Amino acid sequence: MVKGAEVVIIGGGVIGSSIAYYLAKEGCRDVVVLEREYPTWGASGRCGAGIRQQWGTKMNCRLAKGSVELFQGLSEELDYDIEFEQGGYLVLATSHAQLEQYRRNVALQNSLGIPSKIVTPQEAKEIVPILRTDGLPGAAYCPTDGTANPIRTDFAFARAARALGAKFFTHTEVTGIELSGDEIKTVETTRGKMWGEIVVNAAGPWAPVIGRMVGIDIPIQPKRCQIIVTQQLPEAACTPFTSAPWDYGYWTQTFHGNVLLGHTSRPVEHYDKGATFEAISFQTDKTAQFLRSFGKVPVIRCYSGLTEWTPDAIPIISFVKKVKGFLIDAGYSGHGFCMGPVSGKLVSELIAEGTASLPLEPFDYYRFQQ
Amino acid sequence: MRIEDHPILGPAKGEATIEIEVDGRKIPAVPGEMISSALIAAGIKVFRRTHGKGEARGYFCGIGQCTDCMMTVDNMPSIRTCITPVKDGMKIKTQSGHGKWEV
Amino acid sequence: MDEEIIICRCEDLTLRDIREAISQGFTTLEEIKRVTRCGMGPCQGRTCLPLVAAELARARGKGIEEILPCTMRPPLMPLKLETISGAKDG
Repeated sequence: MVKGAEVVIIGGGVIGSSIAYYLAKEGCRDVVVLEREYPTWGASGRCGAGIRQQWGTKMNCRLAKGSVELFQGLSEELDYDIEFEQGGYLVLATSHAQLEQYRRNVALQNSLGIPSKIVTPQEAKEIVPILRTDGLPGAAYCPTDGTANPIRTDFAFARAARALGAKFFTHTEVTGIELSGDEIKTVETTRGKMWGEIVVNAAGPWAPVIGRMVGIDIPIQPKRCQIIVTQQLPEAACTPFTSAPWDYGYWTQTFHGNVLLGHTSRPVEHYDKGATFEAISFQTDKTAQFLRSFGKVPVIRCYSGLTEWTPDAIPIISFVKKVKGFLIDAGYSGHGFCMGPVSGKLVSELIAEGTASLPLEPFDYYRFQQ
Repeated sequence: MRIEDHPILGPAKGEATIEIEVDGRKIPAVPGEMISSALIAAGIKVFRRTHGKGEARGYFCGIGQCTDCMMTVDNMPSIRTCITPVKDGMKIKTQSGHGKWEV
Repeated sequence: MDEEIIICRCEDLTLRDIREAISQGFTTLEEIKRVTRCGMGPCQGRTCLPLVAAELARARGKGIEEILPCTMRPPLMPLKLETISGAKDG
């Protein structure tokens, strides 16, 4: 255990690991990441891995576009294949009101240079041949969206950060933070005490737990998401990434051929990562509702994890005035993996230069108090 | 090669009265037996090739646990042949990687 | 021991691949599974993970009972989606 560092990052998921990497790349190598278990233990190892630019707000669109641009060169930059595939992403509308919302979203996305479009049910079927289109008013589609391997991405950032001098302490839980006035005096862990000039809270759903250690309330709630994994299927059995957000379901085939049938739920009050038959059953029915011919496909695993949700589903990326040097980078509300690279880059800029290349006001912690 | 008289289970039951097709070749099968039994009786040892290195896989655990014995059966890929009974006229293909699937 | 011995029959991983992962500093079955894909194939580690646990125990100088298994997740055996739907309806 080291005594202290310029930057201490709590959380080794894709958010924390990417901050460590981009900081080290900028020359700030006195970085320590404290990870309770190991990178990918949290949401980064349990997600559906969709990468989309199809958002409804300007800032989310700009963030996601920036992230996709980074994803495009990441395997080469990190010298580790993260299996990034720009196979497109289809978002289904199951009502005309939703489709009208998507039309507005597409107009916004196009204005920011994102090549999304509205597609008819027939066009949606041409994109995903096994899609059931009865009763479907239409969908939105972006050909430059896609997927990557979140486990490999998290490991890739951590490995590259370590190669540049950042230190990762795995199986190291933060148990407390001692303040002296409004300054952080020590960060207490299961492997000893240390000190950080800047402490980044990248603890995902556990961000409020870390927040309470410095006496601040962070409005983030866990949400359990569960994924059914099918046996590896032949190529292009179920691509591109298809989502029915209003029906809480999504389907994607990974690089290795497994199809993930994903399900999100309402926010919960616990941190239980157990798989439930209720969710498995729900997602099985949803799959039968939206996809043809999947009845005979075997399921080999059902896992679950926790995402972290803010009241407006927009992340918190900001310093907290009440505690000097305490920076929150959490609350990605289901799109942490997608935003991982751009989050790391912007936060590293904020720390190293005092300002980021995209305006971060919309992600201010204090917006909830207004 | 089939066991005609087992020391514990006794004499083999049933004659090879039906046929299954393996990569276009018809082989005899005993109604009720598992696909892998018919294949081994016909001298077929390689059931599939892995998606990674193209290595040969075949009968291994025999109890539906290891998934080495998977083949494409009647157009459905990755069926565990050691726990799937034969049916007259079944079409079986040696699988390469994850196989093909005409949906 | 011949390092070309197959450990993960589903993902074509050899003893050499597992030892390399261990040498990179991964100390748990969960990490080795994630970084190599060992145990992610259709058998879900039923064949390979006990072998990896033994190798990890040897490398870390621990008894195999000290190597935590990976999280058990349903289903225990491959289960068709239509079987799951059918089960719900009784």
